[in-house]
Amino acid sequence: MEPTMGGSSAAAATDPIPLLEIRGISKAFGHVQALTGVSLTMREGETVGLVGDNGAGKSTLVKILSGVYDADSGEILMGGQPVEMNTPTDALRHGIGTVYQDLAVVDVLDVARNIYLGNVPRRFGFLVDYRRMYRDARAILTQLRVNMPSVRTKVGELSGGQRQAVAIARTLAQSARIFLMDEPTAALGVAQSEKVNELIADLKADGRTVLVITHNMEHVFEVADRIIVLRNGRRVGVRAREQTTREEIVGLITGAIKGDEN
Amino acid sequence: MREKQAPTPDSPPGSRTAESASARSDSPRWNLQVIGIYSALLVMGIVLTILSPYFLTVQNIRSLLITASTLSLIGAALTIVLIAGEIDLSFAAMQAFAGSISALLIIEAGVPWPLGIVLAVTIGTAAGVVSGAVTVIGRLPTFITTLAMLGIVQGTAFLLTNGQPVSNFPDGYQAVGTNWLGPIPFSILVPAVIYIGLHFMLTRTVFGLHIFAVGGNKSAAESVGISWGRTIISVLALSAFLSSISGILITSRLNAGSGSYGADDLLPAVAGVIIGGTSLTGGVGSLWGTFGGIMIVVTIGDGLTLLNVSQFWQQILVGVIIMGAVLIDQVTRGSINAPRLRALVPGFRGRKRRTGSTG
Repeated sequence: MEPTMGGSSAAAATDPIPLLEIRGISKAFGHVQALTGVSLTMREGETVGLVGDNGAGKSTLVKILSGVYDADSGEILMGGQPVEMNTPTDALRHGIGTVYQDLAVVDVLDVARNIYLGNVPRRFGFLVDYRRMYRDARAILTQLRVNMPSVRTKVGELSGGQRQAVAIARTLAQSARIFLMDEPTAALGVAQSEKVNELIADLKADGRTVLVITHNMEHVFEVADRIIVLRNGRRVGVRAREQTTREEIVGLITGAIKGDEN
Repeated sequence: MREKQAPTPDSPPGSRTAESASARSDSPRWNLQVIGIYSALLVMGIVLTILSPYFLTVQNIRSLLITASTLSLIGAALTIVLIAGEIDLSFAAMQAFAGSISALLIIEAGVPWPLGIVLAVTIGTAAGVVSGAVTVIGRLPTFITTLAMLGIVQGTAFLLTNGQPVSNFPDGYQAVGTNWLGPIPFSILVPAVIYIGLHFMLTRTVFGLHIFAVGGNKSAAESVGISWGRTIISVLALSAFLSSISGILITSRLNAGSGSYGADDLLPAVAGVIIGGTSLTGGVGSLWGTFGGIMIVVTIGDGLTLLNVSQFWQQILVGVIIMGAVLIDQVTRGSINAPRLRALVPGFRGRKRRTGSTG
């Protein structure tokens, strides 16, 4: 629709091997089939929106990618190689970092400790290098252009947008290449959501690959290059943002429009 | 205050402007609560010095520190467990357990005393590992698992000693609790060294940070790969280890192992930890706070004894102090506020008046 769009960097990525690929992922919880044969690919530097109604399987898929759940069947490939994602640590080792919506931050710890949670700069293997931690935390926040009064502020004293920024800064500090973001703006006001959108745009400009889970249409059309729709645990559509409309995506989500063949 | 005036005089003191976000605001902050505790302790010391000529004597201060030293060890144990978001009810009884085992091994079985101490502390620590493992494997509340362990270790201690104090330890064993290094008794020196080590562990090591993280938000910690289970088992083992050492020190000092040690320590230890600012909900606490809190409790007891106030009144007072301390904690965290009190107490208005009412 807008052929001269500046954000067509994804078009340059014509490489045959995607950065991340999942093939035929299925997952059941007891008798509930959460995901059935879901496949998707993500190219380097691309922002993909994952949409669907409540219970469509979005969060389950993210938790499989971030190593929280094991898939019952299917494959995850990084750069064409099959990989195991049994724990969040496994996922991080493969460069997949997750920004959870709410359970991510520790209110009683300060900003720097939260940014480096689980990934602290060490000395002699068992000591925390606090000096480096505070310096690097400030540098990351500056890089993200986040206004934070002090890296020693307890996260419990921050606004929702600042907390989300801390969570994003952490994933950046983990030197993740792929950012999984589960409803990053769900709990936020308008201005703070706008700030998070800016952060996502910055990540993209920095060449990071982002998967945003949302059920906010405004949001997904603002940030995503491609939109993947889940319904009842199946992938029912993949659309480039320029080639679809809000109506089509909503129709795919609700089932008013029949989905593609899997 | 006059020197440190804000750049914009009309901005309220709490709200920092974006421009002041500099390296200066990233510099370390003083822990005001801990300063408050030690100020209170200083005031108490001054008042008691005025009221009693015996308070500020070397002998009295030394006996005060000896009482505080073992309490500080179990206080540290409780502090660390609470920071991790859990509770250990068995710590006081663990002292009796370790002391009785050492008595059994050294006096009854004739084990050399250093080996006896090592074995007793190891067995005590192992009991902590068991509490931790049951907690983690069963995903159970530590309130239950450590209460069960309290019953097990207390009962075992009485069983091993037949309910009687077992005495006549060899000289070497007694020396541990009664000997001096220069002017400092071992029973102050050993806990002091351990205490400093623990403070270092909590504030400087990765393990220490993980304890705070797990207690502050378990699921957040787990989502970044910090093992809740490993942390909890380690923390309960550490708690049992510290309580066991405290038990050995008491047993050595009194030259008798007994199943009844520790029963009197529960109240002052908990009081010291709570006064010291450790949160019951996890993630918050410091060992300097705990030490100050325990010194306050011990000083109150000492002072009241010097002033001829009954032991039973002291217990009541410590109980009242615990209640006061936890209430203050709740108020400062905003858990107790006017709307809640209004809902509970008929007729309570609080500061906020209904609009339209004439003041």
